[in-house]
Amino acid sequence: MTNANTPPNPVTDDALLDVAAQDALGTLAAEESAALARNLAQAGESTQRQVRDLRETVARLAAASPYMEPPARLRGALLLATAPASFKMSDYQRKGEPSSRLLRYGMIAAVCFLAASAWYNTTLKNRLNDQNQQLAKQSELLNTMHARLQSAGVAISSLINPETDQITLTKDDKPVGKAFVNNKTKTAILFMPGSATQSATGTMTIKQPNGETVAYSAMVLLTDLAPGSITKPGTPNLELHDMTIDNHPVYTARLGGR
Amino acid sequence: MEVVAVRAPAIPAGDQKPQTAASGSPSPHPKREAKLNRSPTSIELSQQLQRMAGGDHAALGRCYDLMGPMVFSLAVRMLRDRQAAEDVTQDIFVQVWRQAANYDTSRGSPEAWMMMIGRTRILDRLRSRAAGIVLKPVGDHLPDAPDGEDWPDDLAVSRENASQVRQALASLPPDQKQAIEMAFFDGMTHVEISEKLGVALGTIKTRIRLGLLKIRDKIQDDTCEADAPGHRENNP
Repeated sequence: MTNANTPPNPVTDDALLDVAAQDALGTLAAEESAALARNLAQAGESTQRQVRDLRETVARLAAASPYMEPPARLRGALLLATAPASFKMSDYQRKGEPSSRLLRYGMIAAVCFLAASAWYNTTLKNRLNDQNQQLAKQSELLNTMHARLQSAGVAISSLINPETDQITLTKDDKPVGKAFVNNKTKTAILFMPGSATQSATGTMTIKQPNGETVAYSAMVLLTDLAPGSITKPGTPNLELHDMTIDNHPVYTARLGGR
Repeated sequence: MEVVAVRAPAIPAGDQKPQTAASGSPSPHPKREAKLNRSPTSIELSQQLQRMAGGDHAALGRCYDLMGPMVFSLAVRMLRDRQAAEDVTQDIFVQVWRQAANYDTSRGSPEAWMMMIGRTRILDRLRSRAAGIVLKPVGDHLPDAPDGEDWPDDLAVSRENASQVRQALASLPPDQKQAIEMAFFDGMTHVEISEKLGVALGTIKTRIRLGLLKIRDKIQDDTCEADAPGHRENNP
């Protein structure tokens, strides 16, 4: 609309509004939009208001679209794309939401993680305890085997020592074991059935034919062989008297042939 | 009164200017029109844009909450491709963030400013697509019932607003409605619409202008009725 108070327009108001409608719809080229802006600057207030109305109306037309919920990730992606160097998460919580979905899921994930960690730690600790116990048992077994090997070594060295006297231990005129006695080193190895005594080391006293009592460092080894089977013909039978180990009487025997 | 030479386009009989505000005359409710642009949401959006212009990044989140679904819905409607709509929606709000300082309250509502940016971006995307993509008919994507029930109420465009716009669009003469839908939702230029419909370009321009002004008047009328005391008493 033009009146006497406004300068004449090169285009009519309707034509201007036609172009303004195109502009509001976004179908004008940049130079056409610029030309429209120049024409609008000369238009009356009423025309300018109608042009604004057209823009407002076009903006509202979007509501005629079916509503589409944007995916939640879109908001996060937008904020990430425009984020400043540092920001506080609390600033971005949606209005009316005391805690964000992210925090809620994060809390659940943290609780699950802690529970899984506790379970894992407990299981691991139990396994370590079991393994430690097994190691202790194996260590004990190794020590026993080492001791046995040492004993066997001593026994073997006694058996092959030419200065060792071999004697047969008897009880009630029945052989109950063998002894290897070294009168130089004053050591003795006794082989006896497991049913008669137990493995031991200690001091053994042997009464000599001259009545003297001599102490020997003795080791008792057990054998499952029958007592009679270790006696061989021709082996000198020596009888031990008052034989003790660590002052504990083991056998009373006589030294010398039968 | 000074008479100016007019080169007006030929207007079909159906498009003859009625003696109402939709003829291109000023709004019949100038006071109410101003009220439309001063809704609480509009005021809040203006404030958020001011904060964004000052570098307040959190304001962008709130701005997105109010306008994001509307922009996204329009993008899906125009592009018919959710992924493309997501991309362009992000681009639009990145541009809003960068150009927030350019918003001038005297030139219109923040919704109109943002939708102008949005439509331009969507149209760019639409036109940059490879040729040969056949768009589905417009009617396939418009809601059957113009009740706006599918819109939530916590956005810049409320359920009531959506209902008003849909009813206003549905109330247009078919040729005006068709021209507006082709221009607005399909992103066609006036020339393209003219060629497709076999109607003079001037006629298409007039149909779109008149249709848009009728929609404006219808929305204003509905808003005034809703604000009337009697209406409030009957519809608390």
